[in-house]
Amino acid sequence: MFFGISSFIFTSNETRNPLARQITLAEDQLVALLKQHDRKGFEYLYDRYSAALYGVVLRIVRTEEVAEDVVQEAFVKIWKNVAAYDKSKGTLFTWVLNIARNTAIDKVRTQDFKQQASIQDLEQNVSMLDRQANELPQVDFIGMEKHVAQLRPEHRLVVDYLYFKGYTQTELAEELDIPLGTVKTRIKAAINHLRELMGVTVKQ
Amino acid sequence: MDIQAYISSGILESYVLGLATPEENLEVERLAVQHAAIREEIAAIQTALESYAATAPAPSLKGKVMSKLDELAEQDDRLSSPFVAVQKGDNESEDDFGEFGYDYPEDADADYPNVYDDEESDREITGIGPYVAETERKRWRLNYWTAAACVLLGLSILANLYFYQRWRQTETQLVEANASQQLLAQRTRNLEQRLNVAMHTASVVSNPDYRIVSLRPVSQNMQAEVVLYWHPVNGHLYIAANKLPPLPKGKKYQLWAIVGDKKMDAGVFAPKQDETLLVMKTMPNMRPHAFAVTMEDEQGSPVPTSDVYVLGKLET
Repeated sequence: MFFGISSFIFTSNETRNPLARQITLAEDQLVALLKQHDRKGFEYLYDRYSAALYGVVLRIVRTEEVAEDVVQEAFVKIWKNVAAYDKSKGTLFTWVLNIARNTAIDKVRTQDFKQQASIQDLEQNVSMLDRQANELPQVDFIGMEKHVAQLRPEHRLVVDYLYFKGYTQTELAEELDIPLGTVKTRIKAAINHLRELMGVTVKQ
Repeated sequence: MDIQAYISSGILESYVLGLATPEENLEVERLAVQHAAIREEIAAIQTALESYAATAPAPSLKGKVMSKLDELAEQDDRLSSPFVAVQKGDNESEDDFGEFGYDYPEDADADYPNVYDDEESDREITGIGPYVAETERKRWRLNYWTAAACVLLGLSILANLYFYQRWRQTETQLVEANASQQLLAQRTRNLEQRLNVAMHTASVVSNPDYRIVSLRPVSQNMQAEVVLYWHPVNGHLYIAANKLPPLPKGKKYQLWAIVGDKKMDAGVFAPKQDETLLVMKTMPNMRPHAFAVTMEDEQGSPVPTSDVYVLGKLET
């Protein structure tokens, strides 16, 4: 029975297409495998999400070596905490993304701590990190796809804040000093634009 | 329900970005099961976001990650299930990853401690396998030491009892030894005294300068014999009076030196069992021609008041 589930997932992996039907169902089964600490389940998780996670992590920690460490750590955390995952926490992708992102942010902070512990107090450290984070969009990374750069700056800013920095919409509204409704509209617009750029459309 | 309106509301974007509340998440999940359009929309949003920053890591990373997970799988196997259950407890993860949206960087003060919380709970989680094993080992080691300590304590108590017993014995023996030593010392002193007396007696008896005077009973029916040792030059006078009749109470014998018709006091004596020679008065410059013994009061008497018991004349 196990084998059946696994093969279903791997089949869906091989024939993965952005509009894969029954993704929710497949995700349930993947979660079940992960909760059992099934090796193939984790392998699938890696194959499916490592690029997305690595990309986010790399943009936070900014060096490939550290990014690899963070991804490893994140997978360890996923392994250890997957038992506590349930759907009220969102999609599996969102959940693992959060783990990877928070691990990366922690990494940056502890690194900064180590480097500057005696010199800088917390606030300075935060502003330093903040500056660093603000610089992120200006850095071109290998593999950064061209159409990302084609996003309108305000859209890109919104996505970066939410995706890389893990801001909530409310925080973002306060940060950018714009109404929450505007944030939501921009998010939707940004993702729609992104989908167009990537050719991910849904036939209506 | 208007699915298109729902899709347009932006809730699905929030959901995929992890910005929705747990209730919203569950609602989206529920609707996604019911409506294919929502599923497809979610898949599209997620794909777009997944691709947004996607950067393929070095191919070697997969091997590293998987071997790390294989290590964890080994730990899983080693651990008994109760610990796995503890490790997977909802609470721990809730704190770590339950809330979407990292508070960074606005709420920095509240956030920094979280870094440590995270690290600490993470350490707790990662470390639980080795930790439990370590605790087991420690407990075992503790038991081992406890057992060893108990054995040592037992041995110590036995040794103490043994030595206490020995000490008591030794003490008794010491008391006995002291007693017998004192007894021996006493005996030695006695013997020394008697030896001195005997030596003195021997020196007197063997000294040719002493003149020996035998005193014999005056009356025929008396059994008595007294011998005097008299040094004519220095006047020392000893008496061996073992064979006199026992004295009545309050009486002593008195020795008299008879010079012409004068009877001179030469001391009182009472015969003793263990002393052969009794020391009498030293009477120098005296030429007695006889010695006599009478029975007088204890203090002695200036003149003889009783019959003469024994009498000895000096040969000239």
